[in-house]
Amino acid sequence: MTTETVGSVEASASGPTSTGSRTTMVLGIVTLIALGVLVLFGLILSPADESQGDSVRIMYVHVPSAILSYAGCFLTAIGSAVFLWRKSQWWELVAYAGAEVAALFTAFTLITGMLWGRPTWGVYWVWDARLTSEALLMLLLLGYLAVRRLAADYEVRAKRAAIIGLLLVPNIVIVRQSVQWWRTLHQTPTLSLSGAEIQGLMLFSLFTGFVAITLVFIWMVIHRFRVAWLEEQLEAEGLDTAIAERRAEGVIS
Amino acid sequence: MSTTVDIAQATGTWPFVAAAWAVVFGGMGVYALVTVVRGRRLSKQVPPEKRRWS
Amino acid sequence: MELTPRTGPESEDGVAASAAPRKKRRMSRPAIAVLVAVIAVGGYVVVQALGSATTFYRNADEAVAQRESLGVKRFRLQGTVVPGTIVQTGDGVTFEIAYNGVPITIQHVGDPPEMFKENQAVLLEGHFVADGSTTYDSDLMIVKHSEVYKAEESDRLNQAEMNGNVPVTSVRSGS
Repeated sequence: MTTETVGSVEASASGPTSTGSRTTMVLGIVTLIALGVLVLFGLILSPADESQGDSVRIMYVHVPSAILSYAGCFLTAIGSAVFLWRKSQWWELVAYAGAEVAALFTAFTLITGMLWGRPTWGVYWVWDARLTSEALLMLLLLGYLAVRRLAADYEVRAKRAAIIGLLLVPNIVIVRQSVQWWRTLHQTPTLSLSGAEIQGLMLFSLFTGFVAITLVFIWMVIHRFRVAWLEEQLEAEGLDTAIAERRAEGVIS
Repeated sequence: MSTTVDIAQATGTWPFVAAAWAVVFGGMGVYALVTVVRGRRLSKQVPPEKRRWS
Repeated sequence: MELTPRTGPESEDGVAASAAPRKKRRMSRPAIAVLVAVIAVGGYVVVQALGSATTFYRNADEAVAQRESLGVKRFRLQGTVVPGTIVQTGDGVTFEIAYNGVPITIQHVGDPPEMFKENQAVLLEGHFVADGSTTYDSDLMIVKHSEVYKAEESDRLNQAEMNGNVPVTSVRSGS
């Protein structure tokens, strides 16, 4: 991360040679420090739970992963809406970057949830409303990414993906409310407006988890957006070259 | 009974904790690396005036 | 108009130029197929989940109230393990669960989960042994946790304060 950004500073006269910048370098360093603090509090300083024992430590990565996957989905939905409304490519790329990072964090949520379920519930998986709706969210994100990547005209695949992107919002509402609306094995939220059912170092560890994973999320979305931007520039450039070639051949007058 | 349960709990859950944290930290590391490498490769092919973010 | 990028001399012979539009037309079909598959699988999962979610489990009092209609049908049952009722058997464990004061005797086959203990909420899969019975045969036990977390140390103090004695059996090798 450091060398890459040094490279971009050196090459600033001719544009950066990577998706890194001074901002993302600073952000990257702060993120690494936050992750270190998370390890310190989550794995070492925080106490074991009186009924769950040490497996409660999975919460410090599971819950932030889930919340940030929702954030990614909201970013995708907003980007998709603006794209469908104004045909803004910038927002479409924000949506795409958000969806890929959201898929990554949804995968983390599912895997860490299963690894938390086995020692505490006794089973890895159960088809209750929360787990089922979360699996559906993963499926929807994979559907978005599949449609977005299919070889079709940019306008066509971006539009199809954006429609799926809008569906993410009702899905998140279902995931979030499933534990209130239906009987589930999954517990209701640890943190809510009515007050936290967690205190002291455990609450602080969860807080450091939120901070660290949020920083990782922002860093990832910025870099992934720039990669997507470069890809589209390359595609547009290819198109320009093709037009120029046809012109030279006299196909287009 | 409660003694055996507590000991099983203390020794038995760490592998799950380690696996969950490894998945998250490893996954984030791999994804970050892949994204940076892709960005560097693409940067070489795109003219500098189209990648101004520093 | 055909505008695919020309990368090499092979596109000059017209092969790539004629292949490209065909490829584009062929590609739109998988896109629709993926979309249809996602909607179909998603719809199926939603219908399945919503259909069974309202009765994902029955609390012990509801199960007893509905025992005539439930018969020996398989359903999920939830309740709290009644203290002093746990008995190890050859192939499992028997105990009582209760919800709203209504008890059900459980005959569980298989090893209970590590976190199975008195006063713990559990979810069981199985059926009543006979029509109208309040004894339940279970072959799957899941421990149900609340969203309340408490540090190990402070709870032992609370317990000691409430009970007026320190639980001697609670030797925790982890702390």
